Order: sequence, then C-alpha cells, then structure tokens
Amino acid sequence: MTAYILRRLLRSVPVVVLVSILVFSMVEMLPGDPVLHMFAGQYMTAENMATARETLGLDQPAPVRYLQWVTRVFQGDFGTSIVSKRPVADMVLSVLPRTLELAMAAMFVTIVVGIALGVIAAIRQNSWIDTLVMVVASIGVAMPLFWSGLLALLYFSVQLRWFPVSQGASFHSLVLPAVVLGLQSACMVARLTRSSVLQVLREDYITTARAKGVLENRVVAIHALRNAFIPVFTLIGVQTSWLLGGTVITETVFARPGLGTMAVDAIRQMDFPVLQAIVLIAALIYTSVNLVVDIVNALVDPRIAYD
Amino acid sequence: MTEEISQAPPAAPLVPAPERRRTTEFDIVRRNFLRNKGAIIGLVIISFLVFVAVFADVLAPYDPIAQTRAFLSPPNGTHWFGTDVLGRDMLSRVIHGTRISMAVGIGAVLIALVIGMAVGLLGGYFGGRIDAAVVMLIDTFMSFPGLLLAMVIAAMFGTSLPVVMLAVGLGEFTLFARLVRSAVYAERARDYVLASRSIGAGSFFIMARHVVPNIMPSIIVLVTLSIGNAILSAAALGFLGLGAQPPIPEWGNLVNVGRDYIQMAPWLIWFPGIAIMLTVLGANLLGDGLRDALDPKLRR
Repeated sequence: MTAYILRRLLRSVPVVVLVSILVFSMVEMLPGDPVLHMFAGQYMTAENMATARETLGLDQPAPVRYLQWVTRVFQGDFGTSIVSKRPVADMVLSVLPRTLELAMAAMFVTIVVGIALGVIAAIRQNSWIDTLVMVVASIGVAMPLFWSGLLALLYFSVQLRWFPVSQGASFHSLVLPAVVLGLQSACMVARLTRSSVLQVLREDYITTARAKGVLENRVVAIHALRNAFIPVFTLIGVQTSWLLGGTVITETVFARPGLGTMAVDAIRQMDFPVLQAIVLIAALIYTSVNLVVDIVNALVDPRIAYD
Repeated sequence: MTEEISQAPPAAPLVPAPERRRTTEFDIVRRNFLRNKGAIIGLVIISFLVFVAVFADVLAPYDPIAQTRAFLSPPNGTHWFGTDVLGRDMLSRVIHGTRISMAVGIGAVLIALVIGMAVGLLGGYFGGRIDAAVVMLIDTFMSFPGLLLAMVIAAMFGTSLPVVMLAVGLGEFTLFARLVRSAVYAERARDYVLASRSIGAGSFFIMARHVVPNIMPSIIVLVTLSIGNAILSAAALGFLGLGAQPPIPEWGNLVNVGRDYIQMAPWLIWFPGIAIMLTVLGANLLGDGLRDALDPKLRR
C-alpha cells in the first residue's frame, strides 16, 4: 500500500511540471502586448516602452522567464497584476476563500443529493420513483448552468426575495449559487450512482448474501454500497474539475467575487499574471483532490493498489 | 458473464418469413435500441433538431438579424418567441442558432475524436515509454477545468466559430484518448492481433483494419454523449462573451445578451435556454440508448 501511495505521488510530479509549462506557454501565446495594454492612452516613447519591458522581465527569452516564473511561484510570488498593479498572490488569496466555499458547499449538495437519489433509484429500480429520479436527473444534466442560474436568480432572488440579490459574504447569499451549482452536478452523480449500485447488485456475491438470508437492507447497505462507491468516489474527484469550471459560470451569473469572475476579467483585460495564477491553482487543486481520491480508493479496495 | 448474449430471447418471427435470414448483430442492436423508450425520444428530438438546422432558412419566419421597431415585444401571434431589444424575431434567431450549436457541437467532438484517437492509439498500441508519455499528457489536460481551458484558448485565438470548436474539442479529447488507449491496450494482447502480425501485417495496418473496428461501438457511444457536453461548453463560452460574437444568433450568446433585460423580457432567456436543454437532452438520451443497445453486458 505504501508503495502504491508513493508511486501515485510520483506520478503526479511530472503532471504538475507539465501543467506549469503549459500554463506558462498558454499565456505566452496570448495575443496583445501587455506593455501597450498597461500604458494604453499614455504618451510613451520607444525608450519608455523598452524600460517597461525590462522591469517586467519581458525582454528575456521564454525558457528563462519560465524558470524565473516557476522559482517565484514556489516562493508564493505570482508577480504583479498588469491592470491593478497589486501583487497577484494577494488578489488571488483575497477571493480564493469565496470560490472554495462555493465549490465545497456545491460539493456537499452534490454528494448528499446525488448519492441519496442514485441509491434510492437503484434499490427501487423500475418503480415510479426510479423513473422520476432519472427523468429529473437527465433534464438537470442537460440544463446549461448559466441558464438555470439566471432563472433561479430571477425568480428566487429578484421576484420572491428568498435570497439576497447582491453577493455579500453572508451564508445566506451562498445558498442559492451553491444549490444551483450543486444540484446540476448532483444530477450527474445520481445517474452514475444508480448504474454503479445496479451493477454491484447483479454480482454473484450479492446473490450469495441474499441466499444466505441476509436482510435486503443489510445486503444493500453493507455488501453493495461499499463496492458501488468506488466509481462514485472517482467521479467526485473528476467532478472537482467540473465544479471549478462551474464556479466560473456561477460566479459570473450571481456577480459573486471569486476566482471565476477574476479569471473572466483577466481574460478580458489581458492580465496575464492573474490568469496564469488562477489556471495553475485550479489545476493544482484538481491534481491534489484526485491524488487523495485515488489513495482513498486504494484503501477502500486494496485490489486497486495491485493493478 | 460470458453467457449473457444467449439469454436474449430468440428473435425468430412468430409467422415464419418466406426467406429465413440469420439474426445478425445489427438486428440485436436495433431491437434493443427500439425497445428503449428514452432512446426513441432522443432519436426523435435529434432528428427534429437536425431537420430544423438544415432547413433553418425555410423554417425561420423572419430574417434572424433584421431589426424591426417591435422592441422587446412579448411572445405573441406574429412573434411566437417575442422579439429582442433590437426588434429581431427570437424564434428566427433560435432556429438559426440550432444550426450553429449543432455545427459547433459536432465539429468540437470531431476534433476531440481525431486528437483523442491519435493519442490513445499511440499510447495503447506501443505501450512502454510512449504510453507513459501519453498518460502524462492525458493527466495534464484533465487537470485543467475544461471551461477554463476553453476560455484561455478562445482568448488566445480570438472568438470565431472554428476557435470555439477547437477550444471545446481540446477540453474533451482526453475522454476519447482514455477510452481508445485502454481499449487498444486490451485488444492488442488478443490472438487475432498476434495472428495478423505473424503473417506480416504492420502496426498501422493492424490498428486500422482490426483494432479500430473492434472498439467502434464504444467510440460511437462516446461521440454521441460528448456532443451534448460540447454544446453545453460552447454555449457557456458564448454566455461569457468568448464564443460566437453578435449578431450571430448563438444560443449562449443570446442568453448573455438577454441577461440585461431579464426582468423586462424573461423570454429572451427562456427560449434559447430551452433550445440548449432540448438539444443536450436529445443527444444524451440517444447516447444512453446506443450504449445500452451496443453493450452486450447489459443485454438480459
């Protein structure tokens, strides 16, 4: 098991390096000159421009700048925003908690609602409740997030006034965005949980358990769910990436400060350092969550470690 | 688990047909598909939308970009879906949007398929170091949230339809690469590959002639299921203003523009959203139906 965990840890090292190279070169390839953007509308001589490039380090070749960038990132220095002139690390840190609370609250909704509905649908397969859950989940998966978000905002916040329209830091303002984001992802999880539980319920050892006279509730709760949860848990790891992408949309719809809205602004304003930091952080969150998921899966099902 | 195919009820017709034909694999798949209510609904929805997309010019009652003085009029007899702030007929705009969303969805999935197949075949067939590199590449791309990746690509190459396809396709190719890689990995150990190699077939020939056809059913299913996702991603880009630009009536973009008038004219949001939902639902139902019909493990 320790060997597996070590191997799994080692596997993510090149991925993190590759992620950082990709993030760096992606932003390198963006069109537009940051220096021109920075001094838009100001009188600049060619010498001024050259000095600005030098102070920003933009006169160095790309590999050199990559190494400098990585070194600084390791020290927690993501550079300075081209637009706001503030340190990127400060900007990101100031909104990171808002995005994390949204993503975690949505994940909570996903897990509770998604798994509960999926398990209920599976053990009552072909009943009206199964049909209902699956129809709702299929429609939910097909709804564009920005659309369900806008409609929820219009009807629940603006018209019914159940939730605040403006996104303060209160718990109350977190509820609607988290539920909108979480419910859609719950629909995906419910579908997978159902098929995963159904698949396990067909296994021979379940028949054996039933034949031995084990109560059906116990068959489901003890024998089936433990094995059915592995694909579900893996999906939740993958779902992290979806939720982080979803926060971009949810934050934009609800005009909520966070990494997502910051990323959208950074793209519009060509603010390279901010964009680099956000994409890198999102990828690192995903990589670490999936590292944990894989290790927990191996602990739950030791067969995985021997593959 | 291997005997399940034989459990399928015999397909012999009640009245003996004049010409006895063997039940082919295709017959089984078709029967399984037609027995599935969801699959039929999906097929109907997608056929309808393809029809709308192809005949958009004929079906749309008005020019989708012609402005009139009927600003923001609610749905009524002349404008079924109402009009937008420039007095453009929303029904015509949504109808023309079908063409764009369908094209972008299919285009993006084809890009994802081509890249994913190339990468997956490379890794799965050759194994070893090449495979390790492929897995690393897949892991790397998977760690970016698809939408964020698409946003950066759209920002890099501008906001035209081909760029949207590329941006969405690059976010989805990992699914195909993973599927193809693991399928090829399993297939290449089979006897038929060895037999083929022993009579002198080259790697490329074996892959194209034997391995790819064998994993085709899984690919068809994934293509169908990915189209829905691709349409959702493209619409999200449009909503963020990073997709197709106005006056192109792209659905996500329509919602983005309608957002400013959401209280006055909620129909500007409702109809494009329903169109997206219906398309994605149709593609997903069709994909689920194909998967259930093509997967022998689920036949019982």
